[in-house]
Amino acid sequence: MDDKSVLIQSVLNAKILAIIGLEKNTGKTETLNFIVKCLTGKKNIALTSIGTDGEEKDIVFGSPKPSVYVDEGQIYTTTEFFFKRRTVLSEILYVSTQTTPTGRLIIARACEPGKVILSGPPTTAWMKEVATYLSNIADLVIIDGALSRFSQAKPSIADSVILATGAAYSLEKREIIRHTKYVYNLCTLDVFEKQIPSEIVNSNHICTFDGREWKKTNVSSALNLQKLKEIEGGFSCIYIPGALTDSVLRTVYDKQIIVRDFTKIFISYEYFVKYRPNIKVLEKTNVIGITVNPYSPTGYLIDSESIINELRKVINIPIIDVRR
Amino acid sequence: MELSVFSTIPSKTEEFERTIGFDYIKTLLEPKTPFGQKYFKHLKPLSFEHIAQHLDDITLFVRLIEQSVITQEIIKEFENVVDISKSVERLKSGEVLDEVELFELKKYALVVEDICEKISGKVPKDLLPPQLLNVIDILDPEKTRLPTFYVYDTYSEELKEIRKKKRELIKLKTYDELQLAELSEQEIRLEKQILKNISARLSGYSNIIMESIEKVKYLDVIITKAKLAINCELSKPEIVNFEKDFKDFNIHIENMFNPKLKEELKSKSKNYQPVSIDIRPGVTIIVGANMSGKSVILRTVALVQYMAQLGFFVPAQRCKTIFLDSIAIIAEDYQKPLSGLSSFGSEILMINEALSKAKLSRSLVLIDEPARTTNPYEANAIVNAIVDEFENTSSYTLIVTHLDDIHSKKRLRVKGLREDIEFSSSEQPEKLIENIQNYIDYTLIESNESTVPKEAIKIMELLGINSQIIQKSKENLNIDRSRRYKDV
Repeated sequence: MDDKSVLIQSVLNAKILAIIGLEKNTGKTETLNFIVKCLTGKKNIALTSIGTDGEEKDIVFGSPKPSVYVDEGQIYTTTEFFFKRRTVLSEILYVSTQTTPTGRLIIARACEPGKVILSGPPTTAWMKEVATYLSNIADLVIIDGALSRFSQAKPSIADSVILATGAAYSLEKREIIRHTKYVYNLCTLDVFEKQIPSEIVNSNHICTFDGREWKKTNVSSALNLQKLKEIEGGFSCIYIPGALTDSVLRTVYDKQIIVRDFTKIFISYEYFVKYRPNIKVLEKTNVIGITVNPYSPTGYLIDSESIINELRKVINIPIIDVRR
Repeated sequence: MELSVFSTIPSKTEEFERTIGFDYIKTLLEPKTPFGQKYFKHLKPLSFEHIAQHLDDITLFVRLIEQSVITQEIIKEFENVVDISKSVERLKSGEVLDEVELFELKKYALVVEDICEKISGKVPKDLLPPQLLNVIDILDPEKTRLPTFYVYDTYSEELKEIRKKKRELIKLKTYDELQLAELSEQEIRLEKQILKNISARLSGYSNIIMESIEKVKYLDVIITKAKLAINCELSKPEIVNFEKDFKDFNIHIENMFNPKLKEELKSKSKNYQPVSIDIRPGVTIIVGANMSGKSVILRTVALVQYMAQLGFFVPAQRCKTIFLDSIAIIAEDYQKPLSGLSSFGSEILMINEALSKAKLSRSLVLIDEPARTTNPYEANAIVNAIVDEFENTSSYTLIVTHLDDIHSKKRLRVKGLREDIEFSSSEQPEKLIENIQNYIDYTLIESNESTVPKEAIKIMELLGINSQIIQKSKENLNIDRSRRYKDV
């Protein structure tokens, strides 16, 4: 089986799939359209997207946001602004009371095939709600994640993730390969093997482990470095509920670090290489494939084949060029 | 129509409600519909007739909820009600609704129809929203009874034809873009025409939809009030309207409690001692030791009366009260630092305002320690004058004071420190304050003495204050007393 068929097979097994772009215009929408076309007739699909800020950015770059293809019967989310301008006959299933910058959220079913503009909840909590709602009326929910906002790829929302990379991230091939590998590594960090008490997991405070028992500290944010440094005791392992940043890493790099999932990690590549930290997650992200978009928004075209070949040397999941 | 407008002092509703503790009650309210949420956000005191109606209907719903005739599932159903009032306004003025609005209208009609089905036969007919079957029929031509909407093919044969052609065209591998655009244009034009027709047909029902909204809102309001009554163990107040015969009517509140305080004590597994009070027209003076709950009594009386006038059940075992035109509470607002005026200045201005209202209408006036921040010599004169002036009005006035020699026809005293309890001096002062309710009997008793209870030094002893201060205080008291006797 070639990579495309393997990827489609994985998608068929997913319930909620998030497509995450490493940068704007890295071909998320092409990936989405590719998957939708492949699944038409096989699965009842619901499409949603995070926020609408993507469009504004697209306007800045001058490249029109490609609309998404939906087949008859498929469900999609959009907002009032885009719904009023739609060209596809659609049955309204749900209208939210909360509003987004482009109006209330609308969940609709396409009554004919055509192209729609997706728009969706701008916050993670709301996205979780909508994704749950959609998964009750569709077999597969696909989230079009926008603008590198990884938080939508939380394992607690999406059970599967596709990473979209490409020329929009950098025109330098090595740079694309390096960054893609790095993000992939973060996504696939191992799960912490020991059982952690639920009050520790649900706590908003930093917790430490000395090999025998967990201790809750009075430090709520790791960003408060002074307090972080003052945490006493010879602990070997630290659970950080918030963001793991470069400066936090500098303080705790010699410990075993545990974070909820990879969306909490904000460490630069340079720091990661310098400290080689031992990070584990509570929930692992299931990356089922990587797509490469050879076109940059500024009009350049890069050689996707050599990138794909290079990535395949270290990454053992389907990697495809969305334009082929 | 309201004959007179109900008013409060402080005149800012927010300040008034905070002072009497109604802000806490508001946090307990859980209206389910957007209409109910709006209603409770801008609560207004009701007319006498409406109070009676609300109280009777709350009684009914308390019973229905307690007997599980109205279940939690039915109440939860109200959460699905969407606010369509703006769309109905637009229908009424002949505007055309868009698909999103029609979707919401259809959803509203289906949800309300569902609620009606579940409660019909269980509640009096006049409380049921009118049937919206005609509205549903217009918005559900395919009779699926599903809460979804689009401009259905069923609305027009022509539309159906165009869409069919369009579909067939799209199916072809290559098709004429121009032809598709033309079909789409025709489709859009027809859809617009249909939306216009639907809106015109619906506008004939706008009054009945309005009535439905009013009924749904009323049900939500009554259910919300009934649930509060059940959760806080409130009771139905008896309320009479003022006529000449009621000149000697006494407000009678039996075993009233402050819901917030009660809840706080409950969370520390402590008991709340409810208090009863009779308030006759004119002035009643309330005296009692420090920490004996006089302020709480004033605030709770105001809360009981205010809730009754808003058509709520009240925090008391029994309450017989009268429909009043205003409630004034002049007490410390713990959350608002005094601005500009001194505490004495702002207090006396409020008393002045309360007096002018009391002269014109029937009020409940509650004053906590007037003139407490000025010198006792003048304070005594001022408070006696205030008592005299309010005595001459037809209002119900309660005044809490620590001053001796305030003359009033009626005087109540908080029983105060329990005599039978021995204080162990080993107890920590903080602990003592926390457990103060163990040492105090909050019962109000009638009193004929013109002096106030002298328990301040006793409380100081209790709190373990410097023994020198206590000793000296006692000595000073003795000197003072013997001097007085000498003067006589």
